[in-house]
Amino acid sequence: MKVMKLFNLIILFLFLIFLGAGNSFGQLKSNYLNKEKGTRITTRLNKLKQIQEIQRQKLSIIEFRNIERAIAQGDIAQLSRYFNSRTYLNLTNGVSGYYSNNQVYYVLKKYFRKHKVKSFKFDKIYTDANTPYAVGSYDFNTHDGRRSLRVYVSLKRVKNEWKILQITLN
Amino acid sequence: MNNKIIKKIQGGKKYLYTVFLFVLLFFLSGFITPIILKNIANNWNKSVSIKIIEIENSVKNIFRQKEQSLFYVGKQIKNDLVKTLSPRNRTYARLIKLINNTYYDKYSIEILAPNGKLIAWNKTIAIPAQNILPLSYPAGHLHFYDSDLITYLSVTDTIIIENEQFYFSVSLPIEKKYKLNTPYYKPLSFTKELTSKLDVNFKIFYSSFAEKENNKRIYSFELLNNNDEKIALVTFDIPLLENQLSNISSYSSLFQSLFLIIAYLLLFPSFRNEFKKIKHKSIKIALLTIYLFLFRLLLFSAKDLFDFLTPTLTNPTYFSSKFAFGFVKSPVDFFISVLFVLIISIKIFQFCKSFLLQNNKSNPLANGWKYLHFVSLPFLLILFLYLIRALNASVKSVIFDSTLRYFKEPNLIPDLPSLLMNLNVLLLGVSIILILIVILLFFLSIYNTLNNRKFLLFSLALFIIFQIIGYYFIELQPQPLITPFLSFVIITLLFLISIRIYHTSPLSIYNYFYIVITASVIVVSLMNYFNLDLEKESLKTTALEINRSNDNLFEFFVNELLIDASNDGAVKSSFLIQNTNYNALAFKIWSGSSLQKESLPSSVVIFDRNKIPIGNFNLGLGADAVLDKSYLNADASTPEIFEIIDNNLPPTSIITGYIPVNLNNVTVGFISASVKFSLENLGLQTVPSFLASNLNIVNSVINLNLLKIFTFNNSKVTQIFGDIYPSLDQVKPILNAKFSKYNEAWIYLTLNGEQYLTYVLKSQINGEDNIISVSVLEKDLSWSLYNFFKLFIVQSIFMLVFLIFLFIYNIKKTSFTFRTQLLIAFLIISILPVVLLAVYNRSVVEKKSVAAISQGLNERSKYVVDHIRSQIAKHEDRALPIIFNNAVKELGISFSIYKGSNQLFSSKQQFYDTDIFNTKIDPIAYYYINYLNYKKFIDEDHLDRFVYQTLYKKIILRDKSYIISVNNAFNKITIPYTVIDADVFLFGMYSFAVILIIIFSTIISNRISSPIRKLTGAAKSIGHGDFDISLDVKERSEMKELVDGFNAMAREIQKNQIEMAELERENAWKEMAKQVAHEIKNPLTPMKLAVQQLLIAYEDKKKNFGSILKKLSETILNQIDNLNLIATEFSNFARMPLSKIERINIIEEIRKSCNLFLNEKTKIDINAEIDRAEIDADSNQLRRMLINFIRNSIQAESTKIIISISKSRQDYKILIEDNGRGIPLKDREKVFNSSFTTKEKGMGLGLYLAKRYIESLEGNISLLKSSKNGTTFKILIPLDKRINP
Repeated sequence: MKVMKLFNLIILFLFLIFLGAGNSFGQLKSNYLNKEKGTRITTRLNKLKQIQEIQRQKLSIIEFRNIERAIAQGDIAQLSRYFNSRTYLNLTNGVSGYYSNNQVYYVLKKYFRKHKVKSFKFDKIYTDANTPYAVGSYDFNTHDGRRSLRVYVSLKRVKNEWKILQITLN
Repeated sequence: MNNKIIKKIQGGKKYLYTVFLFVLLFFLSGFITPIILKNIANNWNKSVSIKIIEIENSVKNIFRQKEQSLFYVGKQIKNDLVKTLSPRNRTYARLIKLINNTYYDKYSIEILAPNGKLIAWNKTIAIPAQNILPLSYPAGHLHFYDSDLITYLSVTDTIIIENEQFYFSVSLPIEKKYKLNTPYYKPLSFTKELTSKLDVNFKIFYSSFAEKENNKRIYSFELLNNNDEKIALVTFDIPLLENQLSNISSYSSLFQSLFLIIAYLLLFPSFRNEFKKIKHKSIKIALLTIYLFLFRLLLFSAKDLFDFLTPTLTNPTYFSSKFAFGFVKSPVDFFISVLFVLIISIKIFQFCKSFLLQNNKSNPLANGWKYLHFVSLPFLLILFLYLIRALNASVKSVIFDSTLRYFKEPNLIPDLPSLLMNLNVLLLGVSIILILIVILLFFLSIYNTLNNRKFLLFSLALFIIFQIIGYYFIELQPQPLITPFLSFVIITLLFLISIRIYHTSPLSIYNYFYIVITASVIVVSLMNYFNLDLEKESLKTTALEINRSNDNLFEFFVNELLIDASNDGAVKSSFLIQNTNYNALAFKIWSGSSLQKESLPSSVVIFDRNKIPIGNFNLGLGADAVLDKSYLNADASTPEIFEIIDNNLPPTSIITGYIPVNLNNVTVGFISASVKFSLENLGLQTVPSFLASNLNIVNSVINLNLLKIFTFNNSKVTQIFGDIYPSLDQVKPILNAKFSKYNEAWIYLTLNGEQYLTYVLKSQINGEDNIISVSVLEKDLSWSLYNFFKLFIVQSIFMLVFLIFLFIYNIKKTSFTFRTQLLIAFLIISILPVVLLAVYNRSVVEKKSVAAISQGLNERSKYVVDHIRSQIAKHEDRALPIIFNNAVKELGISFSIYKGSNQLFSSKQQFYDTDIFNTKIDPIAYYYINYLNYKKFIDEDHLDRFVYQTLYKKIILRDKSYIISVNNAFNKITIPYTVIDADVFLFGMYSFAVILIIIFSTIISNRISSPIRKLTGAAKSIGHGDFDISLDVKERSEMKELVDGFNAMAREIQKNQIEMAELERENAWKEMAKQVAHEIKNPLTPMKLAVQQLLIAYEDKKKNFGSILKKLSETILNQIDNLNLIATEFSNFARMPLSKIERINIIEEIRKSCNLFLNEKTKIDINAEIDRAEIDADSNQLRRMLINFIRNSIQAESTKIIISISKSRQDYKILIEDNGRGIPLKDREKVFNSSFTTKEKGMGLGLYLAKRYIESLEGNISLLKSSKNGTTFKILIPLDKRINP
C-alpha cells in the first residue's frame, strides 16, 4: 500500500517537472540553440567580411521587403525574427517606448488584430543611412471606413543581423 | 409529478442538467445568430431609419442633461448674487469668495459690473470680459463658446439690482481642442462621449452657421438650445449593416464562450461525488490538473471575453511573455494561469505533507521501499535547484517583459495593472515555494528521530549540504540568474519554513501564512535584484535612444506633422476667422504631434499669406531655429524639409520644414515646424512638467539625473549630459575601450574619485566615428531597502487580507483561550502605537514638504525682488519690462508680475499667449492680498491633474503696488524627502514590523500560555476521573512551582482516591459482614427449631411423622433458599465499584473524550461507519477508559490517533490505532495486568480497569498489534438485544 503511495508521489513529481520546470528547461534549450546559432553566425560573418560596406547596407532592402511582407500579412511570427532585445514602438493606441522582445510580439499581435491590415507598402526605403529606414503606409478598416497610418521602420545591425530599432505607426 | 422531477434533478445531477442546458444554449446561439443576422439584413432599410431617430434622440437627451445642469448652477448663482450684490452688504471680496466655492469647480464663472468691468471670476476664465459684452446671444440663451483651446457650453445672464444691471456668465467645458501625451492630461470631448455611448462616429460643429454636408453616408441634425435656436450641427455616420452584423456576431461569440465556460465550470460540482470516491489522491490531483488545464485552454480560446471584461488588464504592454504558448501574455492571463498552478501546488503540498508526516515516526527504510526512496533523492535535488532557477527566470521575466516600473510608482498603492502583477508574482512565488518545501520535507523525513537535538543536527547537516550544492549550481552556470548570496538567502528561508512545518507545528493552518511571507520576501528580493539588472541594461537602452534620435526620424516627424496640420479642416478654417489666436493654433498643432509625444525641443510657427509670422509655439528651440520666410514657396504641394546646421555645435542639426495651407486652391498661410536633438533634453530638463511626455515615465527605468552621458565625434567631446565636464585623461578609457564586434563595450570609468559603470556604443556616421558613453555611479546600482519596502507594502496588503481570511476560515476552531487573549493583547499593544506613529510621521513629513516648497518659492521671489529693486536703484530710467527681463536672464527664475488683477509681465509669456494659463490673477490670491491685505499668499492650483503651488507677494516698485508670482510649474523645486518617500519608508518599515510583531506575538503568547494550557487540559482530565496524569514543564519560574504543585496534588488525589476506595470497601465489608451475620441468623433459628421438632417427633414415634417430616423439611429447604439468596446478593454486592447504568451512544462518548485533547499536537480522527452505537452502560467509566487510551498514545509520541467504530451482527467493534513508538514485545502480554506500568509515575491501573469494565459489559478487549510504527487495540462490546432486536 505504502509502495503504491510512493509510486504515486514519483508520478506526481514527474508531472511537476513537466509543469513547473518547463521554464528552466526551456531556457536551457534556448541557450543551447543560441550557441548553435552563434557558430552559424561566425561562418556567415567570415563570408560577409569580404563584401563591401555599401553592399551590406543594400542588403537591408531584402530585410525591408521581408518586413513589408510580414506586416502586410499580419504575420507576427515572421516579423519577430527582426525584434531586438529592446525595440522602440510608437503606435496610435498610446503605446510608445522600449519593449522587450517578448512584449513586442504580443503588443503588435494585438494591435494588428484590432487594426486588421488591408494593405501595406513601403513607399521609400533609405539604405544609405547609418540606420537604414523605410517609410510606408498602413491601411486598415474601421467603423467608418478605411484609414491609413504612416509607418516608419528603422533597422540596426545587431550581432550581425538586421534588427528593428523602431516601428512607428502614426 | 413536480416532486418527482425535483427529486430526479437533485444532488450532483442537477448540475449536470445545467451543464447540458448551457451546452444547448451554446449550440442554440450558434444556430440562432445567422438567423438573426439574416433577419437584420432583410429589414435593414426599415430599422436603420428607426435607429437614426433613436441616435438623434439620445444625443439630444445627453445634451439636455448638460444643459439642465448648467441652468441649475446658473439659477443658484443668480440667487446667491442677488443677496451678495444688494447695496447694503455689497463687497466684491464676498463675491469672489462666493463663486470660488468648490461646488462650482467644474464651471467657469465671471461677473461683470454694469460698466462691463470684470469684478469677480473663478479659477478658469472661459470668456474674456471683452467678449462677454456686448452679448453675442440674448441673455439667458444657451450657446457654445469657442475659446482658443476649449469649447464651452455657456450662458450669460443679467441681474438687475436697484436699477443697476450686472452680468454673469457660467460656462461648462465641453471639448478640448488639444491633446497632450502627458501623465497629467485629462481628455474632455463631448464628441468622443457620444461616440462611445452610441457606438457611431460623431462630428460636432459648435457653430450656429455650420451647414449640412451633402453626403449620403452621414446624417446631420441641428442642436437647438432652450430657445429653439440652432447652436451646433451634429453629424454622425449612418450605421452600416456590415458594422451592425459584425457587432452582433462578436457579441454572439462572446456569449457562446461564456456559455461554454459556465458549462465547463459546472462539470466540477456535477462529478464531485465521483471525484470524492476516488481513493488514490495522486489520481485525484492528476484529474484536477487535467480539468484546470483544459479550463485554461478554454479561457485562452475565449480571447475577446477578457478584452471585453477587463480591457486594461489584458493589455500586453503591462506584461507579456511568449513563455507557455501565450498563457502569460497579459497580466490577466498570467493571473489565471498562476492561480491554477497554485491550486495544483496546494493540493500536491497537502498530499505530500500528510503522507510524509503520517510516516515520519515510522521508518520507511525498514519497509522494503528503501530503494525507491533513495533513487528519488538525487532526482528531487535536481528538481529543487531547477525550480529555484525557474522562479528566478519567471521573476526576471516579470521585470524585463513589462513596462511597469514597480519601484517607481508615484503612489503608495499602485494602479490596477501594477497591483495585479504584484499579486501574480506573489502567487507564483507561493506555488513554487510550496513544491520546494515538499522536496525539503522529503529530505527531512529521511532520518527519523524523536530526539530534538538529533533532528536539529541532522537538519543543520542537510542545510549545509544544500547550501554547498546551491552555491556550486550557481557557480557552474554559464549565465547564472542570481548571486550565491541570494541563493543562500532563498535556501535558508526555505529551510526555516520547512522545519517549522515538519517539526514544530505540522498541523497549524497558519503555516500557509508563513509560506506566503517567505514567498513575498523571496520574490520582492528577486524583483529588486532583477530591477538592478534592468537599470544596468537601461544604460544600453539610453545609448540606443540617443542613437535612435537621428535626422531621418526627425524628418519623418516634421513631415507627418505638416501633412496632418495642412489637412485639418479646423486648422484651415482658422486662417479665415478674424481674431484667431495663432499662438494657440501653433500650440494645438504641436500638441497632437510626435514632437510633443517624444518631448523634443521643437517649434511650430504660423505664417500668414504674406509670409509674416503670426503665431508660434516654441519649446526649447532658439529663435534662430525658425525657418526664414525666404524659403517659403506657395507652390509646394508636399512638405519641404531642410536641415539647419548650427555651427556652434558641430554635430547638432535642426530639421525644419514648411507646408503652404490651401483653401479652395488659394494659399491662406504657411505652417512650419522645427525639431532638434539635444542631449540636454534627455531628462526633459528643459520641458515644463505639465508638457513632458509620459514616454519619459515609461522609459525611465533609471533616474536620468543619475546618468552622465558623453558623446564623441572623432575622439572629441561633443555633448554632455550631467554635471561632470571630464578632462581628456578622464575620458581616455572610453576612447580606448575594447569594442566587441558589435561595436559596444562595458567599462569602469573613474570620475572625481568615484567609480562609474559605463556602456560605450560606437557607430559610424558619414565615415566619422561617433561614440556615445552612458555612465552611472556604481553605488547607485545597489540593493536598497527603500525599493524592498516599496513592493513589500503592496504585498503585505495581500498577506494581511490572506491572514484575515485564514482567521475567519479557522474561526470555528478558535476559542477565546488564554493564548488567544494574550495574542490579541500583544497585537493591540504593539500595533496601535506603530500605526499612530506612522500616521503622525506622515503628517509631519507632509507639513515639512509643504514648508519646503513654500520656502523654495519664497527664496526665489526674494531673489527676484532684490534684483529688480537693485536695478531700479541703479537705473532710474530703465523701463520695468526691461528690468523684469534682465532679472529673468540673470537669475534664471521664472516669475510673473501683476498690476491689479491683470498680468503685466511673465517670463513664460508664450504659455499665457497660447491660453494654457490665464493672464488674470488667481482669484483666491487676489482676495487675500487685495481685500484682506495679506503680504503674501500661497495657493495650490492645477492644470488637469498637474498640481503646482504659486506664491503671490505684494511689492512696491517706484511707489506703485504690484503683485509678483512665482510657481513651481516653471521653477522646479526639489524636495529632499517627498511624501511618497516618507510613505514607503514609514508604511514599509511598519508593515514589516507588523508582520514581525504578529510572528513574535504568536511565538511568545504560545510560550507563555503553554503551561497554562497544559494545566487546563490536565485539570479537565482529572475532572473526568483520569488521575493518571503528570505534567512536564521546562520553565523555572512560578510556573514550575505551579506545575510541580499540580503534579503533587494529582498524585495525592490519586493516592487518596485509592485509599478512600480501600477504606470504603473495608467499611462496606464490615457492614456487610454484620448484615450477613444478621441475615444468616434469621433462617438459622427456624431451621434449628424445625430440626428440634423433627427429633422430638422421631423420639415420640408420632404417627404423623411422615407429614411432619415433609412440612419441616420444606421449612428447612425454604430457609436454605433464603441463605442462597443472601449469598447471591452478597456476591453481587461485592462487584465493585458501583455503576450508574444508562443508555449511552458510544460514538458520542468517543467524541466527548477526544474533544479534551483539541489543544494537543496529536491529531485524533474518528472514523464511524455508523451514526449511533447505543448500549446500556456507565458513561463515566467508558470515557475514563477512552481518555486512558488516548493519553497512553500521546505519551508514546503518537502524532495521529485513529479511533474507528463499526457494527457487526454480534457486536460493536472499536479499534484504537496510533502511530506511537509501540509496546515492547516482552511487555505485550502483561499490559492488562494490574499494577503493570512502564511509566515513571504510573499506577498501572488504566488498562486493567479498562479490561474489567469491558468484561463487565460481557465484551472483550485485546491488543491487536504493536510495532515501532504504532499500536492497535481492539474492543468488542456485544449488541444489546433490547436496543437492537
